[in-house]
Amino acid sequence: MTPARAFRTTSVVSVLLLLCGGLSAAPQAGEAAEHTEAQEETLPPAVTEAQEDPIGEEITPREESGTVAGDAARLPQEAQPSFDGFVNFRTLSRWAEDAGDHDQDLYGVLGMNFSTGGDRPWAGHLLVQGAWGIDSQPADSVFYGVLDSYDDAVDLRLYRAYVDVPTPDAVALAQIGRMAIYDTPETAYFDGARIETTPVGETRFIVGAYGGQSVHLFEGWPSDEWIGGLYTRLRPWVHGLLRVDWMHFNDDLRFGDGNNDLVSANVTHRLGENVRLDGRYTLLDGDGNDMRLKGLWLWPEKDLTVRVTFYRLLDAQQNLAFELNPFFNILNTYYPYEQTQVVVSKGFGETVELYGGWNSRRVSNEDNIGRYNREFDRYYLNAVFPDLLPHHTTWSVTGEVWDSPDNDVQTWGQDFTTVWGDQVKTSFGTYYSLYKYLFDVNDERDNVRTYYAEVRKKVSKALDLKARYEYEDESLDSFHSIRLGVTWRF
Amino acid sequence: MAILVRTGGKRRVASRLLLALMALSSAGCLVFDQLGWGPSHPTFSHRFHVADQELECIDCHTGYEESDQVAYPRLKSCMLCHADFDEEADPAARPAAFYFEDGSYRVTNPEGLDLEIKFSHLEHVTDEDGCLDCHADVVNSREVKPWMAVSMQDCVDCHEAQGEATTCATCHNEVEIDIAPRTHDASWDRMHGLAVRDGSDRTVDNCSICHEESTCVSCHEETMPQNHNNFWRSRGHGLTARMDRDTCAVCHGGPDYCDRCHTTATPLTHTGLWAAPRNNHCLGCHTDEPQQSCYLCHQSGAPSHALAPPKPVGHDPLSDCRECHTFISHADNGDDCNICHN
Repeated sequence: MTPARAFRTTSVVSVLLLLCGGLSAAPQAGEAAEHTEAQEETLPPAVTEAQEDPIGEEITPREESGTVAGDAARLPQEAQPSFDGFVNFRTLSRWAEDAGDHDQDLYGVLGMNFSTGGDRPWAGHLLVQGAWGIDSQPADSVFYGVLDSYDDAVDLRLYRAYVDVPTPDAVALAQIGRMAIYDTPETAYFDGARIETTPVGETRFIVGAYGGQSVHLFEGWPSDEWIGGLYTRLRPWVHGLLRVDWMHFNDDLRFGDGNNDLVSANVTHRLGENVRLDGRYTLLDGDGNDMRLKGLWLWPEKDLTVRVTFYRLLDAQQNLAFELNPFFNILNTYYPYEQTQVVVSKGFGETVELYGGWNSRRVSNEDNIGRYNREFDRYYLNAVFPDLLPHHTTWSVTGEVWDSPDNDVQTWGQDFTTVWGDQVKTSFGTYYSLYKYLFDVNDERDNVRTYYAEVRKKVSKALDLKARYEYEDESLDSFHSIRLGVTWRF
Repeated sequence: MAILVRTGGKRRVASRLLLALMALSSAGCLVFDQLGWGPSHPTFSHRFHVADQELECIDCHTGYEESDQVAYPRLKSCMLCHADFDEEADPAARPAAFYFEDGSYRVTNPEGLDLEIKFSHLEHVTDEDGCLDCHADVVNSREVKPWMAVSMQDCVDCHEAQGEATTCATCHNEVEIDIAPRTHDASWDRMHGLAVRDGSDRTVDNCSICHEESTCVSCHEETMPQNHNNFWRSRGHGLTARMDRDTCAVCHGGPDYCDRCHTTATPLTHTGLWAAPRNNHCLGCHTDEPQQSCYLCHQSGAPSHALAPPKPVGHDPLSDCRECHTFISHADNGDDCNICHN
């Protein structure tokens, strides 16, 4: 790290941390050590309708809410039958000014959820997308995309299709079909089944299991690859949460065994309502894999949130199941590193909201620094001014800097979004990116400027329309794109 | 071949130590503030009154059994003791005078709850000791802090344990699926990802109360990050991915997504001097890492490398060839012999 970079890093982080510490200490510094007139001024006036001596008298404010004691506990338990979902169609038209390439695509997404209602309902969930490449692109086209890699112009993808099965009291959850589980150490996406027990006892102990054929959307179906796991979760102490996972992956790799076992232990503790601490440690095939520490501080009264995360990859990752190391074929070995992230968001009344952060990665062994294992510092700041401008216009400004040896990226942008009544929202803005990098043996410098305009109209509670135009000007060419979309909710 | 240089190792260590020290000190301030440790203005001490003076909750908080309303103390309850204590005290410093105005307890909201919340003490408190089930944190406190308030999660947990209803309408008057929480403000488009990845188990942070999973998937399918433009697709994504591949995985969780495109799309490097006779492809790819990435496309083996002779019998494929072949005139210096000589 150069001296200038160290100074910049230290300064930014110091400002962020001092802001947090100062804001937390300000109320205490501002309040007198003895109750004084200032103390009384901070106390609101007594409730005007309060009684001098309320013995035997009812306090009226509660009456305004219309509460009737006991009603809350007598609401019906049974669910009602339901059927809802959405259909979305959108078109994408693009063309390049100099190269002359053009592209037309049409997409459709269907999402549906149903429930039979009753005391023990059946429920189902479906999410499917279709894409039609109206004019398919050759491999050397500037608009070539992953869907153009297939021979057929029409591509259908089933994202979710699973059923919630009615269960006895001891079972809280039973699902069959194509599903994704996100609270496991690695996302489990598979065609199979999942089951989870009802919380038991004071510790709210549960056990869950899942397994099935792995879903790799771009690898072909069916396959003989599979994924399975077990987990348990309990609250061993007040405001604490402990979760232990075991996952097994079976993947058909070109090199390597293709069988991996991941064990994870995650501990969470809440300090009061607004502080949350989280720690996770994982073992991969019996060896230490990674660890993560997170802290979250909330100050609702100050509209301030601070997140701090520390992550460390303990062992190099090479040929592993796709879910564990999805980029190995492209980016090669993933060497141990540690990464620190601080994110702060602060609102100042209705005037401005700030959201910024610092993200720093350092490779554990200098000898492992290479083309695909880099160190970097990333800084970003976003400011949103909700009603600074007339006509309910929100102005937001974004800045981001990636600072890495031989690879820098800077991005700046601003957006103006105006709400016209309850139905129309318009946005326009600009976005600038500067990429500086070492390409093969030469230094390259590319800048990209994007301008866009967008209109959204809520025709009714169920129907939305959207149109967006974008112009992109970069070093090699200029591009135009038009997106039109309609969404119907039922 | 690009050579990445790091300098200033000692400066880096010093910077890290300074940052860690500042982070720890600030974290300490934040935690202590939450726990109520630190300088504070004079406040009512439940510890003194309950633990030391052995008062019962109902000695001051009377009337809870007669009403839905929270039973704030009454002036005459305090004056039972303080009439004597305060007689000699400075009028401005008399606790009873400080906490009451015109005989009524000075608070922001008599209930301490938003008026939109439905709550009944009558339904919840069945005996004199029932107060501790919800307000245990208050009993030993020297100052009632905001974090001691009963949280929504506490309510939900207790309702679940008691087998009571936990639907939104159980406690809320005005919950509707199309009324967004206050957190969903102008910056929520950018902030919601962090909130989701926090992994909070609090009910108030449970997105599935209002949103189906399809909501997330459909929006993310349609709305890409602003920097995902044409340059991003052709070159930009690679520059960012080689710095931070984990960020890509947030959306492109399908592990085979990258492979599919890269097996058919020609990399930008494969132009000009890439092939013979300059053979820049050697210099461009061969590093000290195993060369699997070539095989992503050249699955039958690199064309010219197919001429490489196999290893002699008895050569263990796991051995390091450089132990015997001390000088290897090859761009990778013997890191990848098995790829071709097999």
